[in-house]
Amino acid sequence: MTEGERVMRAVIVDDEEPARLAMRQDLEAIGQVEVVAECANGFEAVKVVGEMRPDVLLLDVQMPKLDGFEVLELVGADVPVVFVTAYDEFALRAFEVHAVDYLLKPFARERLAAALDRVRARQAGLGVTPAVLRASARPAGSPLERVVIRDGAQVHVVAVDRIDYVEAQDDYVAFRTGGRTLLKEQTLGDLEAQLDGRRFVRIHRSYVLNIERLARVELYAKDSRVAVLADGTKLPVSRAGYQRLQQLL
Amino acid sequence: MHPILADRLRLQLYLLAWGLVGALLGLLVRVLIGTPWIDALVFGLPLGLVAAPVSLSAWYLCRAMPLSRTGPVQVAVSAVGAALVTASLWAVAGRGWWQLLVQSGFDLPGGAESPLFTLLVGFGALAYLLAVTVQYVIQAFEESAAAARRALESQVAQREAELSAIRAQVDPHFLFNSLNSISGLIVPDPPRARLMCQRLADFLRDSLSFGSAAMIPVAREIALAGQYLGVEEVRFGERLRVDATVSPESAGLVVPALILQPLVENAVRHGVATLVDGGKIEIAARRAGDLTVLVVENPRDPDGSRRGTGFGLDIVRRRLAAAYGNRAAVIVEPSPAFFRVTITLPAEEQRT
Repeated sequence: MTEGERVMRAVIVDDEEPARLAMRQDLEAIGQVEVVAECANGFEAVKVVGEMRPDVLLLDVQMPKLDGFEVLELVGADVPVVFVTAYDEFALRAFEVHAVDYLLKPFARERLAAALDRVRARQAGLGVTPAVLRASARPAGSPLERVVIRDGAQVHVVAVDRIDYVEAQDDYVAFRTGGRTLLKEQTLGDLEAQLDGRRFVRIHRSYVLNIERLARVELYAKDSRVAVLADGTKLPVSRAGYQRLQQLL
Repeated sequence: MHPILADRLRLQLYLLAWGLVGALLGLLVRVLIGTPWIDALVFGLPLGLVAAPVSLSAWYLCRAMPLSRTGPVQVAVSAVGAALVTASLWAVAGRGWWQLLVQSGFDLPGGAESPLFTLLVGFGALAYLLAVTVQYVIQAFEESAAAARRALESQVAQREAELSAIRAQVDPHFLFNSLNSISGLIVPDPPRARLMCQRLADFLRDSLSFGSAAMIPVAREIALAGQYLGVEEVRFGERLRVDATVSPESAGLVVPALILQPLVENAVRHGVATLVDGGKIEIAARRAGDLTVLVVENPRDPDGSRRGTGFGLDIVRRRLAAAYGNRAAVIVEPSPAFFRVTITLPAEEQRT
């Protein structure tokens, strides 16, 4: 502990009470850390991070509703994350999404102290850009199965097969799902790369379509087509998009 | 490819055998017709070797009519018919060869064609039938070798299933999570920490005492599952509730030890653990006629992403298949908010 270090404000996220107890005791013993909140699931964690702006999130991976990786995807830009889990197989993924550290349960107090030191070092200037965090917050190799979207303190979890189409809007993407529109800060290219290429196709610079919603493609003018969805919605189809669509069908 | 043509050594042996047949034919000609030795062999040997390629056809006959799938009458009629036709053609060739030799000045009686023809047909037919018999014997050997190989393979598969079953008996993450819970409880709640240590020790002592082939009474199996869930209850607190029922007539039936373990692990991990407020795991055992029926049912998050890989279910299926073949079944009934697995296996009383 060097002089002048301010007290670190920590949030513990774990769905098991004994695990939270273990973490709290160790943090108190290490000192210079204040536990500002304990959360029993991912939804609470996202809410608390928005309200409290903690300095570190000590995050379990396997939890109800939102798992640790989904929580990181939603709040990773705002707060450094240390994963705490009994599973060593998530370690690689954790570093891919730029978690600060990865602790295996049960962990030694010294190991936790070292993780907190890394958080301080990260805050001192060795940061990662939020864009990198968001783009990589998914398991390598397997397509996205559901999308998590933060809407103020609220979190929406949308299974990808309930998405009708996605539209690019400046720095955001707009998910259309059953008449609802949900905005998320992400680029359409990033999202397209995460979605299953057999179910979603980029039909236009600004649109990614769930292929199951497509009713037909109509010729609209020379070299210009529109996709008509099952609910009657019409979306523009670019020439390259039409080729991709034909390949898929 | 014909098996005899496929191997050089086999081909040589085969030709040698027919050479011997030719020599035997020469001997017969010498004895029955009374020709000198040399002339009898000059006639017999080439004729025997000519029969070699002809009787290769016996293999196709045997392959087209395997004994296991063909009636004896059909086999006999076909074999005798083929033998007579082949032998007649051979006898015609033999008579021509005899006449040619007579004209070329060999010491063979010119008027012996008619008894010779009869001799050749009879001899040829017998030789052909012998070839068919040998083919069937070889086929039977090959079949029994293949059956032995299949039996060995299924034994190996069963052993593999058993081995992976042993490996899957206790998920190591269960131990890590339990130890973590204990380390968290030691200072603030020593009685609960001790309770967890005791339950963990009880479960490990009991579960580790069984080999993979052990059979235990249903009541004991359900009690083991209860011990496991007892440990998890300390971890999950009020979120995990358990309801286990064993019907009296099923309590004494025996099942493979720890057959339920992968199912209750899944029920926690992919079920109750995915719910903020948790839920109740229901385990039931009953007897239905000559079947033992075990059911594990749990609630789960309809929007959950943690669906599991089916590994645990696969272990259960393979263990049951190794022990009971198709007399046991695993029925999986998933619904959005619930997951139910039913195992049925032959009802067996404990052997004394």
